[in-house]
Amino acid sequence: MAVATAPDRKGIGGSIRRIEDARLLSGRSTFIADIGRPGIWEVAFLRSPVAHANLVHLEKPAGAEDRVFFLADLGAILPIRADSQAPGFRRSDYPAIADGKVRFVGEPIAICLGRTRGEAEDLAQAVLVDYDELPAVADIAQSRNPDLPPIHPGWSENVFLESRVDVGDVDAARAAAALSLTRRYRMNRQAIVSLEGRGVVTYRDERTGELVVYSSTQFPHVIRTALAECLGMKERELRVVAPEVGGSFGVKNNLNPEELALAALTRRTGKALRWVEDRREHLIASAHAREHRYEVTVHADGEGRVLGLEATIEVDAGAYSVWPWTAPMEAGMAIGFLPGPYAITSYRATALTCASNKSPLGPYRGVGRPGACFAIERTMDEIAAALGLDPVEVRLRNYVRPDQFPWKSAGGKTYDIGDYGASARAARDMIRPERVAALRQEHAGSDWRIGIGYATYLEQTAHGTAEWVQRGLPVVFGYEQAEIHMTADGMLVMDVPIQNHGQGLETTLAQVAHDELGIDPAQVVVRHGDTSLAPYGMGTFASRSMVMSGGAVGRACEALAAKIRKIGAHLLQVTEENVRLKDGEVVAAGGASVPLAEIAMAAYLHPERLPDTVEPGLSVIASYRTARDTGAWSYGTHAVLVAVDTGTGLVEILDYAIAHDCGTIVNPMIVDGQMMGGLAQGIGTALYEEMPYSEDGQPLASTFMDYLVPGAPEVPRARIEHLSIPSPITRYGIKGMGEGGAIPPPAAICNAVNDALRPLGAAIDETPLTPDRIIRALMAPQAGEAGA
Amino acid sequence: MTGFEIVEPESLEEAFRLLDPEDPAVRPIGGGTALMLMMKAQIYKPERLVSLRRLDGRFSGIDIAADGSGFRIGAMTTFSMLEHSPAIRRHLPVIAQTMKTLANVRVRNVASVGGNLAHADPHLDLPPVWVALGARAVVVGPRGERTIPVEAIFEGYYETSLANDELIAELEVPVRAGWDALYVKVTTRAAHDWPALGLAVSAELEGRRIRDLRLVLSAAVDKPTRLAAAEAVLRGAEIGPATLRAAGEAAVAETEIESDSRGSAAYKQHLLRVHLGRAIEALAAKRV
Ligand SMILES: Cc1cc2nc3c(=O)[nH]c(=O)nc-3n(C[C@H](O)[C@H](O)[C@H](O)COP(=O)(O)OP(=O)(O)OC[C@H]3O[C@@H](n4cnc5c(N)ncnc54)[C@H](O)[C@@H]3O)c2cc1C
Repeated sequence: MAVATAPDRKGIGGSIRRIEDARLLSGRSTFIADIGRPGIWEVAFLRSPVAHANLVHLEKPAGAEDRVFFLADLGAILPIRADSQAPGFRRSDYPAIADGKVRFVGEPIAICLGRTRGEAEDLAQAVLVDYDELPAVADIAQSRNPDLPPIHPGWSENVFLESRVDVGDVDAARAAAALSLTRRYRMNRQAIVSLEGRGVVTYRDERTGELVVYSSTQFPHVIRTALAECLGMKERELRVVAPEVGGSFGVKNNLNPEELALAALTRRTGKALRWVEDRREHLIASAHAREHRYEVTVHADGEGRVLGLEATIEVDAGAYSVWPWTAPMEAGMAIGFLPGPYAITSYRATALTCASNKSPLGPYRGVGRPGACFAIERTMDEIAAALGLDPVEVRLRNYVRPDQFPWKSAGGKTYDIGDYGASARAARDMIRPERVAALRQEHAGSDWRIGIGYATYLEQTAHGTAEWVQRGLPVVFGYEQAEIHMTADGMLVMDVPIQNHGQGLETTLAQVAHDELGIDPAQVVVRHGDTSLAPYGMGTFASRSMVMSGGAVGRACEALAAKIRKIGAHLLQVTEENVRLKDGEVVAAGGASVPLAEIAMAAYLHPERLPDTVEPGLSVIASYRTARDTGAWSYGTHAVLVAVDTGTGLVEILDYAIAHDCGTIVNPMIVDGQMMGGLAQGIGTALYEEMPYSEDGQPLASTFMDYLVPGAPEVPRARIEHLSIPSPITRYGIKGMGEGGAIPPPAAICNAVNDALRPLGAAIDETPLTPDRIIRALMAPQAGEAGA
Repeated sequence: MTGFEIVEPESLEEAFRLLDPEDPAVRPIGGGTALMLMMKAQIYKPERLVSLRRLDGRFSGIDIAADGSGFRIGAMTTFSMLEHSPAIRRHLPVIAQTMKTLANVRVRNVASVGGNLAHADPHLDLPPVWVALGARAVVVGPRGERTIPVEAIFEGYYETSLANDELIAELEVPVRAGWDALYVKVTTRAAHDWPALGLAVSAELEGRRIRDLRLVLSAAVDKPTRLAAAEAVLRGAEIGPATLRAAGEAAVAETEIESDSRGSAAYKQHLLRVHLGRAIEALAAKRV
């Protein structure tokens, strides 16, 4: 069912090479660290070495008073306030730099300036700080401990929010069930780890009167709005530019205190400043991700059909609510997504968003869903194992069927369209479970055990207005704009407020333009990430840009095409109905043609050649929203074959298969790349990445020597099949797909490892599945009994 | 990073004058790969670094004795030179094998044999291998020269028996006919991780009987450590599951292994048992 793509296709569906790669691969582009200004100062932040303390006394080093700045030195500045509208939400104000108290290791306390970063760091070490230490809240289990101090003033317990869902009749389900199972799952905290860390350059542009903020961010317009609010400035006094951004995955999708601090200091002093995050800062002080715990009880009939689902979900959101997502986002996503692709109608769950003295939790590829997918997909396998059924068969009995769409889920979402069973069958066909018996035979008598695992995921993408309103965020991201211009020599320049940080959007948006205008993608320039270039827009996150910006570009191009056809028809002396756009020309039915360059020349330099009804110029600004607000739902099934060394606990991935549906595919090669990148991160969550904290709130992985990301040897080349059912609610039928690859790997790999260990009576339900944990699982008492 | 000077003496006498037995802010520098990391992390703040780059003579070169009985390796020999030396590949293949998973080309091009030993980080791969091979280090200082077994360099975590103004000048490595060696780098997470334990084995086998052997554990302990009790179990014994299990238990009993991010103590003890057995089996398999 793979998409048929003609090799020479340049528009939607063509695997054309990425336009942006030449500059990236040859190292010619400009990242934050490449941006200088005359007289620029390098910034080092003095960061808290303790998890929880009142700052009793701060003192600048003698002689360096003009190069060290505390909060009081920054002028009028509001803290970052990310309030959820959910009733019962507890507020946390996040100051640009510490306001008398520090709440996690790594929180900025002072800005220190030097001519070199080294000089600034030395200065930071010379600042005197007197900490009055408080007990730290370092674990979810402590959030309701009355003996620990509140992290924020006025809090009665260290919990941001508790929310509940209760639909259908869970008690009836329990009574009717042939099987009720309870399982506990943990997905531990991790860092996000973009190749390029965060970074900010600020300076004053005296000519325009703007405070210019270069930031390695995913959403410059939104950052401008937020900065204006916190600084009490007009938006027109601020320009925010995201230069080349070296990966982000969500970690650059928050308003950072560092952005606010540098902007405020430049406003106050006029100094040009540059802060380039180092890896230690990135690991300890950038937003973290995951840290979910679940207790799931499922009620099923004798055939494995789920009758009801109960869950308690706990998430450690860290010390502050991040803007604009708010602290309860993770738990909110988890509770909404736990029913997954299954037609579950009775569902009762509680989601607790705990606060702790750890770095705040922010969005990371998959947001909430990797945890929810882990919990529900592990549970489906447990049902299968308990009833002696095939795990794919159990899933097929429970999926929402193709004739049930649109499906209103027990988690409060509306699924638009899909064939989940088709993805599971396709993944199963690729992984070929029938070979497992032979493999087990082959390794009999050795320490190696073979296992196979599946996981199906849903990826809500391009969420519309209603979804964001429902989530109660401070900003509603329901649309996107694009502004396009044809130049006087017939090239197309598209200014979009999204940000391309590795997704290939400069290429895929040009492919959309090709379909609308017949223009060669090589003749299209996509500019992004600059509030001075593009109209207002929301940026790149939540797998939205291809749908939303693609839609806006499509609408703008469609309007421009109409104008071009009018001019072309006039120049060719035929009626408008008789011309079409093809290969960079307007072509008449009879074959006569006029190139775009000639049309652009007429539109700009020879208005005398234009028909009376057409205005000069070839510019269009358009905005786009999806036909319905539910989001476009991608989904898929991952299947993995593993070998577990029961001597050492090491897991080796022998084969990996993905069958997924992301609707119409704009560029299959780029989609494959996104899948592989997501998979690499999913494997990181499953097997390697963990950000542990000590009991007193010290992060224990602050370099790459301790924080392990998978490298090339750990990531197999997956086989990928595209199913491609177009979305009914988006232009072109596109569904977003940037996150999907990262969602199910922890679930699929953990299912496979458990499949391998089950004959030994061992079970493991915590990520990362380190060899140490696997050996412990093998040595647990129940494992010994079953193995004996 | 505060300023410091780097000097490049051309003679040993000059080097000793520039070094300072009392001042920890003065240190020799070989390839600089370890020192630079500590300086960037502000763990080490030097005032003067004394480069050994221009001290040729005994500090450089890889020479094999005329009778083939051993090597002399200058302390400033880089890992790449070792890795690509045909003589080393032929007579000490375990060195080339170890290089395959040691750091990366850029580090191997500059990291030096002497700096690697003097750094005394127990996670490093080569030190246990040198110990297993029975290598000796020639240490020179203003008060004279001494030759010590490599294991005698290490006193603990990042601690050595070298005085501040003493330098490792060269290594003497015997080539023993009939002996074979193997190094096992046990990473428990990604391949580029530091090892949870390193295990170097050299042995003289006769079929499946072990005539003699040296077993060295690193990474899981605070310095490369001979496993004398485990050696005693295996010396003269026939390789079999029971003997290997007994050797593993002896190894666990004679070492003090601590927990860290690469695994709990119990887990690393478990790994030691498993990998000791597998290493001996692998060595035996190589022989046939
Ligand atoms: C990216 C990276 C990856 C790495 N991966 C690995 C790996 O996989 N396996 C592994 O084993 N190692 C690894 N290392 C560590 C590497 O092996 C050591 O840093 C290196 O061996 C140190 O040698 P050097 O010559 O650079 O020492 P230097 O940094 O020059 O010196 C280290 C110490 O030795 C002292 N010193 C230097 N020469 C002498 C001498 N002749 N006499 C007395 N004292 C001396 C110095 O004063 C200093 O205290 C890695 C390092 C890096 C940077």
